[in-house]
Amino acid sequence: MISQPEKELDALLESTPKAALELARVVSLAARIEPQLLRRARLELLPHLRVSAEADLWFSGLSEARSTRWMVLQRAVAERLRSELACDRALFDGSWNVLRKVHENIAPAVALEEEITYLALSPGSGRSIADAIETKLASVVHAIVSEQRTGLIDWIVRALPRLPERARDSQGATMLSLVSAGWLPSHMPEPQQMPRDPALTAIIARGLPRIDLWVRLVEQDANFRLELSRSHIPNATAIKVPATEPVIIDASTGDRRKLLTLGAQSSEKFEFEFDDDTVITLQTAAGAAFRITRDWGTKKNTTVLVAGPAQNLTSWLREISVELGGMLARQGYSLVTTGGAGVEELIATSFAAAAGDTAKQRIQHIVRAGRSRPATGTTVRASSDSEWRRLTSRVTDVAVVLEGGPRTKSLIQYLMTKRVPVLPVGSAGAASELREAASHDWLALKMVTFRVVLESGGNIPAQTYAISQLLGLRDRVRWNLIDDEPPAH
Amino acid sequence: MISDVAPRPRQHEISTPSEVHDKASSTVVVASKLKPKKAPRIQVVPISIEAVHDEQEEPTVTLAPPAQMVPATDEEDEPEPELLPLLDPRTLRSAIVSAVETRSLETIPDIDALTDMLIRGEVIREIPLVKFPTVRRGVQVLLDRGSGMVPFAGDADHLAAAIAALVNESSTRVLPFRTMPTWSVYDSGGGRRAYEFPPAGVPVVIISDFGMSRETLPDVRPVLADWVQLLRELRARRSSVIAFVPYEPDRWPRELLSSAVFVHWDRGASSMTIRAARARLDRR
Repeated sequence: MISQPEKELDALLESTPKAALELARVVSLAARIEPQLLRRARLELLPHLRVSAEADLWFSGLSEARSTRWMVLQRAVAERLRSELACDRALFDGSWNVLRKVHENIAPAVALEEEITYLALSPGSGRSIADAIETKLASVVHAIVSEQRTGLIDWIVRALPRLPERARDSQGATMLSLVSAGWLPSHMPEPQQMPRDPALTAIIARGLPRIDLWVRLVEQDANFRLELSRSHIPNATAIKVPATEPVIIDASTGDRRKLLTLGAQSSEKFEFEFDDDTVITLQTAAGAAFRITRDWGTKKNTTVLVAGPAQNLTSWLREISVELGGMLARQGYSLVTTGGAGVEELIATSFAAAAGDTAKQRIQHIVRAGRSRPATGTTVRASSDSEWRRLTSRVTDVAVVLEGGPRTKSLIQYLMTKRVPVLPVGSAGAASELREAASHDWLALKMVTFRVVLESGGNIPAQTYAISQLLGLRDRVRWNLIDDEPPAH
Repeated sequence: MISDVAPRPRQHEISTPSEVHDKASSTVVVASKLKPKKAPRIQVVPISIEAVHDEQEEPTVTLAPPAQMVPATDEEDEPEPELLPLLDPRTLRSAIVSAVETRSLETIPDIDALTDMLIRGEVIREIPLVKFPTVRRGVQVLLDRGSGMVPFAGDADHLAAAIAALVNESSTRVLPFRTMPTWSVYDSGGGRRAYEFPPAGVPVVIISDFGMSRETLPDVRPVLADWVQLLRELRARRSSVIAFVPYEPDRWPRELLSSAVFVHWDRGASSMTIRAARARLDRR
């Protein structure tokens, strides 16, 4: 469907005398059209045209502005005629030669605009053409930013919207629009890409002042969004970004990428799925990058005891152990085990891998006498079973039980007498029995909602998420209801 | 996606103990029934921000030296581009002569006639004489500076200067005007004054579009009758009138064609075409 502006353009071109239109086409590469250009173009390129074509073009509705010395074609007209001209290679090159001859002494800024126009319309998609355009535009960025030649902003305001699409879409053009500090007319589209050219970003980095950009992460209905604002917003952190107009930020997480543009009054929101591993990267126009992760806080005071079977592990148990260990580490918990093999060992290994350098301080194994020292974390040896239970209950803030056998059940029952909250996971073994037994318990009631996902053999990421939520719940309410109304065991 | 497999528990779906207890045997479905009506809770989540890449400070490609750039405001000082004149420079001189020449009052032997007589073997009893063409009478140039002539302002200056150089500076009077010379003309200082007809027999060259341009915002358009009156008066004063017009003949106003020689001012104009046009007018 033809748009209204296209229809109007068609009507305008239709109403223009043919000879004038023909002449307009061969001068359409020009930023400014003087009578001298019309004359040479007519005599050298279109000798069959009569002199009236010059006057008819001069006084036609194709012009956007006219002075006594030159005229300028309307942007849409120039765009249409240039693209038509580019289809006739011989005429296109001839037009360029005439233009160069007539404008050999023209202001370099105007000459630059015409050169970029010619390059952008030149046939082929060669890298050399793209590079030439970028270099020419970069010279203007350089002059404005590094040498404070703000007079060139006039040039940008006039020339940039008139450049062919290929030039307007270049990194240099994006950068020019960014440094022209909001002077561009409203019809100038917002930047569509983050400039990647190191030369351009270096110019920005060196020449533009920095402003604060406020960033915060907001959760609503389990959906997360990153909010960025140029004015202060509560509970936000500021990062320094170059004062382009608009401010542009390239936000990415996983395979999602979005260019955020912030005008003087605007704030931008970037919505995304968020889990424990989510990392959002923000890149500025100056080439700086910031990595944003959820800050789980320091949970040195929250130590999670994990317990489960040492052998005959199902694939579900293996997988959820690995997931759980990583999740606990990333969320800042400390880990305590009884130094057992199987589930405990898998969890500890996974925890250690995610905790990195802090693993040593955050993993503690309370082992009974005669047991071997686990490979990760620090090990505390208990001289007797009673001391082992006592030490374990003393350091444990919450226990997570993955199924488990009689020995696990015995330990957990002891911990419950010491009012240690227990999160049973799985539909078999100790966990199953504990959950049934604790069905009147407030935490267990909470778990009704999660029952499906906490059954053995469920979806591992979903279950890990549920465990994380339940542990987080404990953080928020301190499980004081459990403390007030302990299980009757 | 997590939500594809099992619905994520949403904060406001985590129910109160009593509510859940009633539906203890149910699963997640219960949660949606227990959805409270209050507005969803929004909370700011603590984040950790770590700079992982420094800003790019040193360009790794060579930039065009910005010193070559000049501010766009320098345009006023640019030299004018070269103008290719409308009349072919090779025939400019002869074209001008043919436009402004007049017959002198003096006579010279008519060599062509004499030659013919000799060839025919006639006895020469009287030497045939002829009035010779001359530009000694000078010329008045009416130069249109109206808005319709803007694209040809350089051409008009060029033609007026060429006429003055060829005829004689002192006997050439260039009178710029806007719209109609009889309304007023400009003197060399730019002041307005009344138009004065040239002495009888002095040719007049008019460089104008006679209101033919398609200028959408013209100066006051001249009334054709004014032009008709001026041309007739000049003719009555035995001044030949040659009009250089940057439009082709099919646009010329017919009312004026009987009082002036109209020249299609373009590369096709030459002494031959101008003389032919003058001869056509003389025959009328």
